[in-house]
Amino acid sequence: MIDRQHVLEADVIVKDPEGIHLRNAAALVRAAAKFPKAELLISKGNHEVNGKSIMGVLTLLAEHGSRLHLRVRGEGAETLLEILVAMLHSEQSGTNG
Amino acid sequence: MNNREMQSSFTSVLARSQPLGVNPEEHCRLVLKGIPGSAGLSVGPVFLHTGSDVWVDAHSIEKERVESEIERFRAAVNAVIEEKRELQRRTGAELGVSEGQIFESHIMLLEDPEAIRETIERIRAERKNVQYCYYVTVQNVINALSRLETHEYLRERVSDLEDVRAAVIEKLSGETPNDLEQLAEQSVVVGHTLSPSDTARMRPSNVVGFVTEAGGPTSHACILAGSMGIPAIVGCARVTALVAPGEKVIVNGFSGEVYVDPDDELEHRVALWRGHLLRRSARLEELSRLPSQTRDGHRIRLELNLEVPEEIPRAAACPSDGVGLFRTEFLFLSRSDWPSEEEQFAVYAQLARSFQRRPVTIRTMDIGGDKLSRRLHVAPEMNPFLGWRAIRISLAQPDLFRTQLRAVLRASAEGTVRLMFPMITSLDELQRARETLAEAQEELDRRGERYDPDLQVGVMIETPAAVMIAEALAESADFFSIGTNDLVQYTLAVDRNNERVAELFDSYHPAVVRLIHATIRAAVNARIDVSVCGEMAHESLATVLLVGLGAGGLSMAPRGIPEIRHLIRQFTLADAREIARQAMTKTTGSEVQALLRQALADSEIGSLSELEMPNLR
Repeated sequence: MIDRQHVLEADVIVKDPEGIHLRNAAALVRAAAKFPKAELLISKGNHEVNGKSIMGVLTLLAEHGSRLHLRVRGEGAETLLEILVAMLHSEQSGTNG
Repeated sequence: MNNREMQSSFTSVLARSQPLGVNPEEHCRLVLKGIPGSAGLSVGPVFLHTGSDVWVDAHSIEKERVESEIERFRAAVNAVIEEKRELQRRTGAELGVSEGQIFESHIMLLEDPEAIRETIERIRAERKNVQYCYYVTVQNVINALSRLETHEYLRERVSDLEDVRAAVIEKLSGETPNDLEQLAEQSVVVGHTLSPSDTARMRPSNVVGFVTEAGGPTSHACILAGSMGIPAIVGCARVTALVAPGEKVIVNGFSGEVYVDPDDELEHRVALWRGHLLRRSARLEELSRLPSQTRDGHRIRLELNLEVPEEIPRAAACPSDGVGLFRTEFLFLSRSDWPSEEEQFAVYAQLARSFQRRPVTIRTMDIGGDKLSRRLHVAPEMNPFLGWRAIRISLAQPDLFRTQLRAVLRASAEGTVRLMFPMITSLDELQRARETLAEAQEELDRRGERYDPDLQVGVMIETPAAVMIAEALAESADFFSIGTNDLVQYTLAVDRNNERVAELFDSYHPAVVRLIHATIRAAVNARIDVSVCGEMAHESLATVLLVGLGAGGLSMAPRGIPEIRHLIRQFTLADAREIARQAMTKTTGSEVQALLRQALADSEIGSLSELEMPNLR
């Protein structure tokens, strides 16, 4: 469970026309992996997954226009959140990573 | 040289002669013994098949083994990651970085912390083998992804997950992927087992023989070999350990022997023998121009069982009365997506046009049992032969079913097509299948497509249940076709692929004989056509029995036709009826066989011996 006090949160709309697919999910997870001491949870509706699990991210079934809720805490949380929001806002999120 | 032409069908006669003239033991490195699965003789290098279709069994493990099982899992995952990195380096160097990216994604799937954690938790909680635990973990993800109908791209990614899973499970099973697609030269395929999805992926022209460790004489590999006219040996213990890839072997499908690394002398003897086989098959072909009728002029239809579309041109040239069984599984098993209506139509139409006025009987797909589809059979079944199979799948997947039915219907405008449903066990199934057929017809009507409105619809009789309700089924069917392989298996409760009980698989068991009799009687009473299309129709011992019981047609692999035609011409219908009547009074399978063997010996089949192999010894 993530301690509420230290948690940074953001809502983001998926801009990639193909939604979240294998390539951009991989980019997202790879970005998160660069912050080994940070935790990342991503949810769509009431389905929440570990943002460091590519299989988990894929099962969000986030299509173009889906609203995702990100929750990050731990070392580098702020930077990580910025990177992720930028990635998901990009229209070609797969090529960022 | 074409192997298929070298084969003869007098397997029963040849099995007892060994016309090599030398003791093979003295002329090769090793002689291995198995069970003859398909007659014939061939030479070639070994292609060692280790299986690429992942199928896992679930079994419990002892508490003490849990931790070592987890260690095994971690090591396997790491080893596969290393292999993928190597592939990534290689493809990156050859094709550029973007091509290598697919491996990067695979590596991330392999490293997925949740998948690893969940698998380990599952091993601890359920105490099942790791292959099973990882399989289920990944399957849950695949199922979640497949739920989204519209997201084509993601659904395609399921194949990446399957690849990764297969690699880990193969690693855990100590196997390396060695796909039959890589089969480049004419080889003898050697493996523990060969599944239909394995064989569907190989080029038939590159296979000159099969040798497997598992399986009985009616397993898929044997049926396919018979249809391709190449030798097969099954139940050949430890063959995958005892021969090396690329090593030259001779497959003696008559004796069930494999001669490993033969010397020149033995190869020369084998070449001589093959020459005789070739001349004999030429003689048999002459015989095959005579009509298939009993001595008193009673016609028996001789039809073909076909497995793969590659056979169609050669089969159409063979003197037969049509196709009694056209299997359609290859369309569904040799690929990862479903075949479209057009693709299916192209094959069925080619079949119908090739045979013109001779009827071709197309059976809707019989996936299941030992023919498992990666798309349908996502979780291992405890008893696949009692599971999701054949018409059960078709009825549960009406879109898939209607697509196939539309393709068959359209082909019916191109020749003489009959439609057949497999594995019917209740009248309800037959009625629902016919309703779906009517829907498919309406769809074609709306599109203005042509089809034969009087398309004959038949039922495969393969279960004791179908026999017991044969009278009711006959009212809704235009013909019956008795599938003896499954009928024997389901009647005697014998798994034909389990070599420990394969011996119990007895087509002459009185229970089987009586079920065949009851089926034919129901068909005759309802004035519908009845034929036999299992392996039994191909056995020389069974011919007189099946004809005597009243079968109107026998359907078999093309190479069986000349011998069976020859046999039919040796006796009268009255003789056959009398023999069948006596067979019905027997109480054991061996008594039935003894009776039939005596009948064969008594009848004037003198010309058989003229065809027998000269002993070169």
